[in-house]
Amino acid sequence: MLFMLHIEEDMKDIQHRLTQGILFLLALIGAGIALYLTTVHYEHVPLVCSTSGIVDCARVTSSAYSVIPSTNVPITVPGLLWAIVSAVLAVAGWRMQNQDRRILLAQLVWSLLGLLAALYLVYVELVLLHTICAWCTGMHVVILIMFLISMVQFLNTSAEEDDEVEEESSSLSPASKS
Amino acid sequence: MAKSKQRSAASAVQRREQARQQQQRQHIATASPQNRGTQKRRRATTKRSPWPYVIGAIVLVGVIVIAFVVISNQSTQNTPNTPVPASLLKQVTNVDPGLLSQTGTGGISNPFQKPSGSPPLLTGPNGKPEVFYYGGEFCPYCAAERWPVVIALSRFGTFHKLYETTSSSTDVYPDTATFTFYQSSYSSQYVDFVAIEGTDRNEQPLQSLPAQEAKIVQTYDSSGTIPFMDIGNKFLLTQPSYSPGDLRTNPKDSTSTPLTQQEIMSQIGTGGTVSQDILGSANYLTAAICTLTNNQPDIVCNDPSIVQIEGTLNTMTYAGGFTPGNAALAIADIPTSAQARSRTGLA
Repeated sequence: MLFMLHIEEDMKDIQHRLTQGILFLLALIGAGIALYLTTVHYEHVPLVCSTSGIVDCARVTSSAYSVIPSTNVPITVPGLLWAIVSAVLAVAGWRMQNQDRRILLAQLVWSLLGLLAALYLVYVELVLLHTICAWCTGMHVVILIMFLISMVQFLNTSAEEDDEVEEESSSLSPASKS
Repeated sequence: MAKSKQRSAASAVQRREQARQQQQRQHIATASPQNRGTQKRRRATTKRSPWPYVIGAIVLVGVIVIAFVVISNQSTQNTPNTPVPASLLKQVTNVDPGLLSQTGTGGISNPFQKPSGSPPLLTGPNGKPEVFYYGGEFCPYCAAERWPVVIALSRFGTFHKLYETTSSSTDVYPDTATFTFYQSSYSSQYVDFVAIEGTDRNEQPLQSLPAQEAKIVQTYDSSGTIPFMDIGNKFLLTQPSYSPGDLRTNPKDSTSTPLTQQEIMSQIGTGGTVSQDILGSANYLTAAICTLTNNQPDIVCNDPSIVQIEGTLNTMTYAGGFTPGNAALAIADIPTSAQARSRTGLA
């Protein structure tokens, strides 16, 4: 029985680390996209993207909405920072032996913030610019996947902890004592 | 009797003991580890499965994106051009010459380049020296440039029809207030004004270049940089004279509220940035046109500020200028619509 419990714990740990590894990889992909678009902005290198039809990255990345309001800083910079923080959280989550709920909550909140920003940018692309940026869409998909993974992991861990609490309380109930 | 009482008491004790043992067996049965595990799994699968949340999140995101697409299809970005109100037309085409003279260059740099060699004087449809303008209604830089063009040309002739519009809502410096030369009407005894708006404010094709102008663009503006002006083959304007940002409530914020036509007009003459930019550019254009008209009309071309600017233009060298041979190379230094955006830190 004890052996089975150990196996179950090990499986949970492997699953947790695997999930954090996936989150880390996704954060790296996001950082790569943001870094590329930031480089294109500052170095004026050609943007590898369609320039005709509804997909036109240059039109989006050179629009008035491509910078932080009242600055010349492209919004890819906060995007890059978001991805870096996500990667750091994934590393922290990976290093934690006992799936630390605080880190999982931080990942969930952070990815939710990213998702809200992505939805605003999708609004800008579709409604205001009538143009889609393929690179930006790639980043948005990464953010959505990271949010879903973070949510699943947080909910799973919450459920397990609740079960443990229930088990403990039931073992201490008067019926068990008798 | 006593024996009978003893038997009945003993049987009651036995019955109570049996009931207690049965109760205990039932409790053990219900509280067995196997049973507890089953209950736990049931709770986990029915109450705490994350998948409904995942599916809910995906559906929510999908609904939001679909809503954006629907809104996008419903929104009409196209604002039809309307004639410039008579009062505004009068103001913009009759700027006080004293004010223009007082402004001089307005502190702006010479916006012109010279074509190399001695290309023949460019003449228009009526045989007069031609002032050729090539732009697009969507283009915010063209929007800014049209203000000095209208003011300068009004010193040599009359705009009979002129429409007001704004630059694209989706480009940099969105909705910059301006005019459009599409369907405009201008007459002058000194120059022919040929204006082509290649695209409308939604970047859809609007006007095509006549053969002569197409050749000019091919020769001096092969990358299609706009705004582009050829002043009689003597001077080329290949970049905006000033930033469209100056025509906004906050010049440092390209997304700040754009000034309206009337607001821009009311700022002309205040000596502020808008006034310096627009009138300074208009004076450069005026001086360039004076070189085509043998300094006619006198009242315009003999103004001291115009004479001074004209002197500067006449001493321009061809360094970095345009020739058919090096046009492509030189164009690389000129902000195209996209390059210009880059230089404003937006690309």
